[in-house]
Amino acid sequence: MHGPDVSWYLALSGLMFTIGAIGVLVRRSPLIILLSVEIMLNGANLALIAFARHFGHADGQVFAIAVMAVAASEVVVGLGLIVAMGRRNIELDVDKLRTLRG
Amino acid sequence: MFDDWLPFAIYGLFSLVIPATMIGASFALATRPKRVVKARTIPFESGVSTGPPVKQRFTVSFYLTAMLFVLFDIEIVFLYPLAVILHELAWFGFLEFLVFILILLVAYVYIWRKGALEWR
Amino acid sequence: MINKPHVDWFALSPTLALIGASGLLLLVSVLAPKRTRKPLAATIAGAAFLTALVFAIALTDKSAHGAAIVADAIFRDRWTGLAQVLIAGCGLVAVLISYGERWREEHVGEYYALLTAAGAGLVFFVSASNLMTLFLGLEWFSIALYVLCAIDIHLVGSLEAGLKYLIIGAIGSATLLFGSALVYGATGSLGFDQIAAGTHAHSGLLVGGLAMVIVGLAFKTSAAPFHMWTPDVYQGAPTPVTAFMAAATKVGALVVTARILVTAFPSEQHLWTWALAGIAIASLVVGNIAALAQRNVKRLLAYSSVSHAGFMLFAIAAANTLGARSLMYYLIPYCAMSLGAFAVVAARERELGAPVTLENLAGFGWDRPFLGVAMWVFMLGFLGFPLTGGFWGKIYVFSAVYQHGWWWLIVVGVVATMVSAVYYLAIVRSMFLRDSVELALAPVGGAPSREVALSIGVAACLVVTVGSFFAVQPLIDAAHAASRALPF
Repeated sequence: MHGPDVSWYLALSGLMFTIGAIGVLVRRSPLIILLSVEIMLNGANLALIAFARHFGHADGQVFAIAVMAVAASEVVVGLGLIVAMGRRNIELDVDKLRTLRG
Repeated sequence: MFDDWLPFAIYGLFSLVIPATMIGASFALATRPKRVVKARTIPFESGVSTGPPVKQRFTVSFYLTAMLFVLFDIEIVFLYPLAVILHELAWFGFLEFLVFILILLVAYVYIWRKGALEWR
Repeated sequence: MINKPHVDWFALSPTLALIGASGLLLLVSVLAPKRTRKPLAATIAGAAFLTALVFAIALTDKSAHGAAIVADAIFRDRWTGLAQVLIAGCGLVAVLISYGERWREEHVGEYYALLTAAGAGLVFFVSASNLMTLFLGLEWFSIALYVLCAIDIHLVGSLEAGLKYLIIGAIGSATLLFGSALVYGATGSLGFDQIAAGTHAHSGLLVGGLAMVIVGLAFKTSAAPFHMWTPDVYQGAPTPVTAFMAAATKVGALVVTARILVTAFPSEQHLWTWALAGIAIASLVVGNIAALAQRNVKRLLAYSSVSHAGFMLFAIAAANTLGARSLMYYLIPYCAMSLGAFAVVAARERELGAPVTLENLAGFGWDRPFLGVAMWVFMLGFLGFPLTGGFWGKIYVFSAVYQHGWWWLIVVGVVATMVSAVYYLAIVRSMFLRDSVELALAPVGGAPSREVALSIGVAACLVVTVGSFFAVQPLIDAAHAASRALPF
């Protein structure tokens, strides 16, 4: 086998997912949160591609490509909402979004 | 063992060298007066200091265009695998490709008629 | 050599009808003259959901023998078919509720385009037979719903609801995706059937993946402790959107949860039954206790939907055919009651031009007797009163968990039902037992004229809610036929 074992990739992808999850929990700017979610998704993508290579078939790679496109659309929707909020001068801090509570 | 990690090492080396060159080059190639005068190091050489620079605000058109670009750009990702096996898929692949483009076209007509492509 | 998949167009027809309509509606919203847009868009959307409904009924009828089709990407069987019937029905009623909404922006065409796109995504989602179609379907309807929540950008909190839903939803789907990757790594396949076949020994990878898949789906079912977005989003989103979300999304997420757990993870059954029972109990506790404290009716109904998610998860946790059958049956009156209740809220909201609270519902039952009585029936249905389908739903769920040997879950369920009586009856009480004159509540600009479309929608919900009590046998038979598609 050439290159590092699949478990290394899995560890790296798990690390990326964790970093993303921590970012989502700790940061308050919606932009950074979207960024962190992207890191989580890409961690999962890395795992998919690594497993696809490990098993020697393309399923995981196809999945990863589809995920990329979906993630991009999701982020564009998120950015659109953030821009719309920015135009209406709503403060961009998720802790302060408290119109809706009860 | 070392052979296994060699691609990683090369990749790591590149990822260090490229930013380093960029930063280094910007220092080396920048044209700058030799003599450092105190007046030159402060932000404004004359007039009243206006305080911290005003935050640059981009127009909404900028964000809109950027987002539309990202959206349409990422769709290309599906055309690469299709291009690789287009000959084998023959007409089936071509028709699928047409349907895909048609869907994008609907979105394109929408943003065009909506006026999202005009710079305001 | 590439194998071209055989495409079963008939099985895809509900999805294609809706997504085709969605594209058409996008064009209508920019090309049709301004005045004709609203009726034209609503007609196209209604026709699309009706077409999808007819196709889904035909598909259910003609798919007695379940099979994975289109390169094993989707299932064609009665479990899928019946869920698609429900979703298309929900969409149809949602169009009726939406028609009278006063959209302040010229976003009518886009609204219906997104509604049909969300419907198409859900219809595709429930047919998923591998982890990839599962994820794509989930994102498809979710992204459409994120925008729908935020579509009324002048409504206070609509944008906020959209962004909150997007962030939490994205976390949920990222978790689901990572779980899928782990399951793929443990078994080497993405298809549900192949995952079950490829599971040899208990591996940490598989269990971890399963847990993350359950969590990802629980975000969409809005089961506690993954429900925190639900009250905010249900409150902030435009009411017709909330109605559609509360009914159709729940159908999709629960039906798919049952499918993936039973089909792909039969060997891990001892783990997921307990996990689901835990989530269900948490949902019942959190949903019911939090609902007691609510004054805003949309928020109250949101917590009520959390607690109903708990009941329906009981049915899945029972892990037997009776459970699957009771889940399918429960969903029928549940969808009707949710849509109907939010429709009544929408009607009151349009009268007052303000968020509906328990206080300003006062006198509504006397002003609008039809809507008032309908709301009464829906509340009793949520409660599980006889003469509504909610009664049989709860009975079937309880008998399913009893068959599994978990009699103590029934105790939890009965206590939860008794607690829920407090807030369901509070709505009825404020509608009928308080006078609006004494509270000085008057509609803005006089009472608006009756909305025919909304009344038809509410009447349809009423018929289904009460009808599912009397027509319990044929409906249970249909649910039974559907549940046979799942390999127990």
